[in-house]
Amino acid sequence: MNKNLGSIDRATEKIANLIGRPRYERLVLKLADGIGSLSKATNRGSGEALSGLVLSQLDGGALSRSSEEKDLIYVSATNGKTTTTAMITAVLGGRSVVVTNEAGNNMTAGVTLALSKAGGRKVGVLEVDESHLPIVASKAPPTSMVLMNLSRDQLDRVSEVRSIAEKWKRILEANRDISVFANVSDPHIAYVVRGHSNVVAFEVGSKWNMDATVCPVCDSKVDFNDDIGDYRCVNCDFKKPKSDYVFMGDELYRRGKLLTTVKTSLPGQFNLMNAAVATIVGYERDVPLEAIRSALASLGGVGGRYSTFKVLGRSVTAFMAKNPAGWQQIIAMLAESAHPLIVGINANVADGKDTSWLYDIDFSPFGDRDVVVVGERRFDIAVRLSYGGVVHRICSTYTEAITTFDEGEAISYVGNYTEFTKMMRFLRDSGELAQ
Amino acid sequence: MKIVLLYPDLLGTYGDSGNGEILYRRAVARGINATYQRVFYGDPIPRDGSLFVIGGGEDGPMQLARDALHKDGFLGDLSSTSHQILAVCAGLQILGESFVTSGAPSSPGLGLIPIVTERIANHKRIVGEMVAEADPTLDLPVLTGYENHGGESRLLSGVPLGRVVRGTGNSYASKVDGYIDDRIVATYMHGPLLARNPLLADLLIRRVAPVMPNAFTPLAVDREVDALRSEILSNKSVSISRRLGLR
Repeated sequence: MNKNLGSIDRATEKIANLIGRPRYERLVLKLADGIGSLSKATNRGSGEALSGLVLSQLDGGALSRSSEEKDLIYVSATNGKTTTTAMITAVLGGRSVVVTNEAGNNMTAGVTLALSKAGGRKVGVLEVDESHLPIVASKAPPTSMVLMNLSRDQLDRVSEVRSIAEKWKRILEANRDISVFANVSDPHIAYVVRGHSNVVAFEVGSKWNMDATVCPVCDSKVDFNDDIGDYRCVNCDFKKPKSDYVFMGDELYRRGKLLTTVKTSLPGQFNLMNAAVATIVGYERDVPLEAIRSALASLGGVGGRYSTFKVLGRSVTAFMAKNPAGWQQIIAMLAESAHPLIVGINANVADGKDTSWLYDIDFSPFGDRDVVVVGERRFDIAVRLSYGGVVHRICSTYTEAITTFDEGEAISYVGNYTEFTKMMRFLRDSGELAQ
Repeated sequence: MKIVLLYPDLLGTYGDSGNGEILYRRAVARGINATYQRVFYGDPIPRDGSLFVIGGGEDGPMQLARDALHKDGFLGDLSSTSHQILAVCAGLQILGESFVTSGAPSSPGLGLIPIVTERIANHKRIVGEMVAEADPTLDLPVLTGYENHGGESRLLSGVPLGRVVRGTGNSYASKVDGYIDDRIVATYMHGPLLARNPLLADLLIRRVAPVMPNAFTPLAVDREVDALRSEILSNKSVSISRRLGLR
């Protein structure tokens, strides 16, 4: 027996030898399911996260085993991976034929759990956390990866952006067969696929380039021409590569010719961009355009995102924004309306414990808005808004926050990860989904 | 008074750009005729700047920022000027004698701070809440911030900004954070620093725009800052998890 194995691994190996491998694996899956159900029944979330953790801890081989003979597509990005994964899943035929993970359950354990429940489904579309992509891709090699963007997020836990790009590059160096759908609007993604032969390059635009100001090849300055979304290194030959697809407004062009217009019921230009990515993946996999369009048109909110709830005599539409680039997209979208706002901030492990990033966001478009702040770190966001010239009130409960607005008011809520999750639980328990 | 934020495109990764905005807002709120300029990489550094702010970032950008500051020459020449500098994290490191990046084991800094930064011996990145008692001469309440760095700094001489009571600071062994003299305030604290420690912002403003201390009455935002500080400073879980070795 391998002496380097941890004590859990040694114990599980003993049990597996005792009762036989196949029986052990079935037992672990049942145990994981049971613990997940228990967690769900006691109102501790969907239970998926815990279930996946039990499975991956007790059966280290589960991931690679359950990925055998499957056609897997991994979707990774700092922003948009959950929604884009749902869109690609819909475009490729939906959950009856495609195995996918529960919204947000995107670390190694979550991917393992999803694949272990694949049943007869041979195609998988899975969102994978940026820093988990290397380990998942090495244990369960995908057919394709959809790489969308990289920007600063949870710097206390996740590495800086450039080191993630390096790790992604090494995935492709180790596995030349992976076909990559690459958003080359983002210099980091262009760098990752540079030299890889199996690439479908696309440009969907990128509004955030503060994390790509330095050339990933030679550490010189990168010049951006924001008007045309172009960039090049001032020193070496690194520049935006040629694209197979270009998305502008709502029009998707393929090799210079208009392929289709893109529509989605989800709000915001960033969701149109996500839908364009799903369209490209579907089209490259020979899904008819008509089928792609109708799949995208019928897709609603994902994991509660963009859902509207009737609650306490008001309506609340919920948005998630976890980092400066994500906030910038949401703020651009909300700036077009005049709804009053609730802003919620937490700083748990899944949010990043350092709230400094709030100062990377320009909140001034909310300057003339009625704003309330909530969350465990409401004083952090309160101070930030004060320095940004945004008048606001501080509330300690959701009920207080919502009823501070007039009855019948349509309120927009934006929260970061665990704050959003908590608000969703409140809205589901105390309100009802509109429509 | 001109407040200058240096290279937010290179050293703006950790939210430290907020320090520039906060200095500007607080100066204006006190009736000081202040301007705020963000200087991007490649832009000339204004010679009439009174308060320069520089933040934290990744290795490559940090090296570029150092090269640009060295080439420009202005910031490094403290003999003929009266400006103040606030430097955080990578900003502190490049103002020191030498620093380390993933590309180079030792690069020369600008030599404004007698501090040497080396790779952490056990490679255990220093991440988490920090609380420090400011040097008594500054007459400031306890400082709070969030540190996140992969280098250990050793002061060769001079006075640290504070004595660390929670967290790590310059190095695992030193129990001190940052550096101060009459021209420079340097630290590892993000948060950003001045959002959590407004009296340090006022101290910097006072250094470049001497006014009667009573002009520095608390601002409206300071009530929110007080709530924020008491919440963070009373957060027992931080020190307990450290004691248990969980971080």
